[in-house]
Amino acid sequence: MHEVEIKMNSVLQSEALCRVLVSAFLLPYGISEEDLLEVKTIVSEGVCNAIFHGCDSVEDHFILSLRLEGNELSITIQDFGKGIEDLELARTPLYTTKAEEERSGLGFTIMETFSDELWVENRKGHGVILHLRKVLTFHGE
Amino acid sequence: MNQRTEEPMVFVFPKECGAVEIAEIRAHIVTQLDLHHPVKVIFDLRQCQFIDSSAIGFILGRYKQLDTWNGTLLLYGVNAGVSKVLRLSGLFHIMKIIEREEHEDA
Repeated sequence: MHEVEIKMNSVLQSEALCRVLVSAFLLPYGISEEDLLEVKTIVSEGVCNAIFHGCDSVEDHFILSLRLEGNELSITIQDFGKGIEDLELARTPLYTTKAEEERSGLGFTIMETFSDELWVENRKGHGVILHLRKVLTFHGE
Repeated sequence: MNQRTEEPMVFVFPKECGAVEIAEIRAHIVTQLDLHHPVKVIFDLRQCQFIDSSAIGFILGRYKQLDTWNGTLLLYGVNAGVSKVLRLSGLFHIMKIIEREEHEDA
């Protein structure tokens, strides 16, 4: 079992760092290129949600956790914002509260498509904990 | 009034197209499009290995921007990984993907 947890403040550079982090975390295990790309995309989408919707200033932070056990990767992204007003609406494809910032509203759609399991702890007034699980394929499998 | 530019404008996208990279290229591309009102714009994605919904939102925004003067946006050099993400957005229904030969003729 291998796990890492990192706390970052809500600047866009933190999202780029998370992509590098997840790639480095999985590098020793020889996972398929396809799975690596999907995991990077999942993490990018979840972290962007935390930055754009769960944080109000660059002083706010979020926490990314990765845990690999066998071939199962668990990803947790926690923010400490105000939570999601209507979770079902938020998960609707193309729905966004930030259309003026050219947000596409596809974050949840992409995360659901590329992960095996996704569930949301929506703590109104206290933030969101996003849980994802993905079964990975290793080279040669 | 801006003069419409007949020559296609080509913008080369970086290897990774996440939120921070899109933020870096956004102002330049939006400004160039507004200045020149090109008839045809090509987003060269040959180097692009990663794309997420931030890039999709940006591409859709440029599609709409061009549409205000009946301009066309083409995507060039889309690899399998990028294609998978673009497909989720439905972009392929409204935007043309071009191959090498077509780009050289554009």
